[in-house]
Amino acid sequence: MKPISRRTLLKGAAGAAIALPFLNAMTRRGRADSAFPKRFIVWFTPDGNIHENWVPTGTTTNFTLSRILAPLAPYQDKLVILDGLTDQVGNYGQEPGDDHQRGMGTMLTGVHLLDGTQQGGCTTCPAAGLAGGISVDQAIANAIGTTTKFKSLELGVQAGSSGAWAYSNYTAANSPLPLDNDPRSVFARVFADLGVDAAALARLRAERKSVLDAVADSYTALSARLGPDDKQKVDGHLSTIRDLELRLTTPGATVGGSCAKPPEPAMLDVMANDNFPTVGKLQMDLLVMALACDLTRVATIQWENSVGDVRFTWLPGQNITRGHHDMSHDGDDVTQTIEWLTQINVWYTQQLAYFLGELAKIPEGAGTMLDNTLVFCCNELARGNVHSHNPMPYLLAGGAGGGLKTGRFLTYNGDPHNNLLVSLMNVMGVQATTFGDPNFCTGPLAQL
Amino acid sequence: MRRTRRSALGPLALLLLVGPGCLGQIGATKQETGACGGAPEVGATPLRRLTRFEYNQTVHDLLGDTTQPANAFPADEIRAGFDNNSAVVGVSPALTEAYLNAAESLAKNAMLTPANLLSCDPAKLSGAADEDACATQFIGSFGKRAYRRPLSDDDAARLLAVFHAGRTAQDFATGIRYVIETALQSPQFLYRVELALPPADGAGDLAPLDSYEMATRLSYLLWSSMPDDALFAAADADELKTPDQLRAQVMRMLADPRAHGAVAHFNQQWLKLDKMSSMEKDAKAYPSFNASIVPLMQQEVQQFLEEVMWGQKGDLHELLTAPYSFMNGQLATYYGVGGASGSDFVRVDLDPSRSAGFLTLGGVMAMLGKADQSAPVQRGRFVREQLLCGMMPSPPPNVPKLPPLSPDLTTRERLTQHDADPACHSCHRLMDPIGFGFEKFDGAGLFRTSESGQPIDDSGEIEDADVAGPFTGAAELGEKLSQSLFVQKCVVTSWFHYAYARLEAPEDQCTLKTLSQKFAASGYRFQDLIVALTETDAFRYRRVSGGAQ
Repeated sequence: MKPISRRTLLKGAAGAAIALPFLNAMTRRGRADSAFPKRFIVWFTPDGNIHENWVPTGTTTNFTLSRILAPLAPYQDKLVILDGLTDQVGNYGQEPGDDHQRGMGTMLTGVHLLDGTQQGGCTTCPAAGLAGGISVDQAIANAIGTTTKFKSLELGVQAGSSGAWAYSNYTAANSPLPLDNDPRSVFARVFADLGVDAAALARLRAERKSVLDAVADSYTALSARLGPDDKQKVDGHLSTIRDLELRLTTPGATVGGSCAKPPEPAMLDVMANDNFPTVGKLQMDLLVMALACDLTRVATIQWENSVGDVRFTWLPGQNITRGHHDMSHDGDDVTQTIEWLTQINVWYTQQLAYFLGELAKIPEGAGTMLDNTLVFCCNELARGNVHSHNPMPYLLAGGAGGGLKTGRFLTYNGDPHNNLLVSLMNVMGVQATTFGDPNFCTGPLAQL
Repeated sequence: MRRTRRSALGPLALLLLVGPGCLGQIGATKQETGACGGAPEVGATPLRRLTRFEYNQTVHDLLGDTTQPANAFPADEIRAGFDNNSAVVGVSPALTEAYLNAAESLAKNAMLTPANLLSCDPAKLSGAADEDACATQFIGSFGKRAYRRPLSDDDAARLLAVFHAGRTAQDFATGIRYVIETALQSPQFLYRVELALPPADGAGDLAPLDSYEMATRLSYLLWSSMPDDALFAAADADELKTPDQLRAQVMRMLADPRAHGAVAHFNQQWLKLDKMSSMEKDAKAYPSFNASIVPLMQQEVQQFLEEVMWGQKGDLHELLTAPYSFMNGQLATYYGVGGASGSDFVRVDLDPSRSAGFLTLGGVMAMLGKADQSAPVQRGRFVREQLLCGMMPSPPPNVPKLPPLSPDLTTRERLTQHDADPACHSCHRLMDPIGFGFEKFDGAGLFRTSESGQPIDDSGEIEDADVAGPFTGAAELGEKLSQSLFVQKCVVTSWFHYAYARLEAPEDQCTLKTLSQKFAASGYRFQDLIVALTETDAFRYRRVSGGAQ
């Protein structure tokens, strides 16, 4: 499988060289059309980045993409590159978890991890549980995800399934959203009833309404008899049942325009190392179609997980046999490893370029779906071999329906990433002045 | 703030001479003071939800369904090594959807053969009264089995209303289908609700279980599934109260094949056997290994554990020293041992001087080996964590590179840096010297006597344990571990975590002490430990504070 054609790549590389004179002209807010929904996408890749090969050069509006970001050249005017932010809450030393666990748990929540049972790699920290609060994607979904069939979708590419290392997304403290690593299961869940005949669908909905009403009643009755801890558990479950009921009444998707039922993915060992690129492409394609059909407006694509150890055996001519996380611990003097980690991040950027390209293929008003989408690219670490949380390699892509002024390279001096989380809310049209732990937040991020 | 580090070992912690901060422990036990046998004490007992494994077993026993629908659920969160921990982890929207889908497909399957469920023939029903009578009868009998106790009036009325909704929408069978779908998503099915009895006078916040709740505790501990007819009958007669009544049930249940599946599920998690299915080996390093060996190794390990858990001896010493295994012709040929031919697995006796029971099974050595070399660190870590219940941290940042594989260096020589560099040594001393004891088994589980042209040195040392000291070879290591108080205690603690689906609390010290005493008195027999797990305060009572009122 080859998600990015050689031609696209060449075009991209050339674009980086020749596009500079046009950049100022291209710096603008995206072509917004309020007839189309805004979408928010989290794009996660793990184990840190190689900053010197990631950071652009130049000024805010007149910059040259780095080696790692070069594949994004066709979309340079759709980007905001954020250098110099710190995951301060994750970097704070007294709380549970190692640097990976904290980086992962705080990335979207902005709050410390809870106590738990995973020791991780920090010998002096308390063992970690899961994150202690709602993640920003879910806070946004609570506002903009109420009318679609799915409030949000969480797609994994060989993502883990347990502990703080595994999850990006939380509906509340200790309530992680599992990643679905199997494109066939995503297909079944998201698209199975697309195009089913109206009468059959109406019958199914009526049945589910009767059943879920009764189910919800029994949770309510039980909840009243429980002590506070068990009650919280049962009430949380009940709220997901209520939510499911609510979504039965959403109109669902109509095939037509850019929305079509995608082909059912073939059977595949989704956790086999070398199937990683194939699974990734399937998940990206399914997500783009879910967005085009307006089945959801909030989603995450999580590649691996924190401490992900996929072996990038497919990088041409490299013969890599070690895992991503294993290599990320090597010191800077191991130049071969730094080169491989750079190439891994280049590969990830190529996938992002493909994804942005697919979004840009879908016309919406005078622009494309990319203009109405905000993609937040994040990592749990800044640099793997020192486990740092500064400077974080954050990047935004897409116009957010006019909410974001793109084509910019912004630099900061250690500002807390919680401020960025506030701004993500605001850019998506959700009011907020603080997010996560207020001790690590001073308000919306400057310049955005 | 709080966050003091606490030891789960009680007085044994005094024996630990641990490098600063390297070795972690989970759970909390207060210093053992005072005698046990007084008023019962139990740690908090949060509400439990069926695991995927339990869900599959339960719908099999409830409906005869063999489709294992829970395999499509999001994975259970693993805490402290097990999938059933009851600490609060929220139900995700995806899981709620999965419950809905599973309930629909189970109900549809069940209604393919309504005669298995209904006391009436739907084709011969005449009129609403007839239908209601049959539906009511079904709700009472099916509902009791699904909710694992007789239905309350409210529960029965709710299910009858759902039946009427389905009957109105289409027909009688649809109404029954709605009832099944509703029951399978209700908290009384998905959760282990324990609310029947209040605390006795003077018992503080400790409440006993009624006979239905006790039947359910027994069936999920021993079978990972719902109670059978005999347990329901005992509960109906309220005959699950006295120690003798419970013991009689426990002995009956241990003799049922379902107990073997449940114990295997424990072992699968305790001994990290899931790793076996993802084993890949380098064809250049291990040319005789191929993918067809993996399922044979898995069967070997399963049959060995089956023998150790349920056979004549059935004890910890057997687990860690037994000089035999189970193989068919292909696997015996792979290992280069005689004693088996053909496709059936048979018991094969092995050289006792090479064997450490489970630990030196080829599949286990391969599972704990790297793709192209042995792995003393991983093997030592396994012993340290799974058998000694220590928690090792992940490697720190900026790890210096070890020398690469080379024809001139043995694995042991390549790891000398762990000994020389103090930063490495503080943790690796707890793993590598144990793992060196397995060096006569290569990364693919094959016995060897030399590496890189040099004879294998499989001498090692256990540090920071009651059996600390040097040893030579896996057999001596296994013998030492089998005599270790630390290992014995670790087995008890691991079973506690699994059986009660929670970590130990300070109030559980007498439960743990009783378990350890009974395990010791039995000669460390696993079946006796399982019986003992049903005789503790933790099993016989629930705490109402915070949890159910």
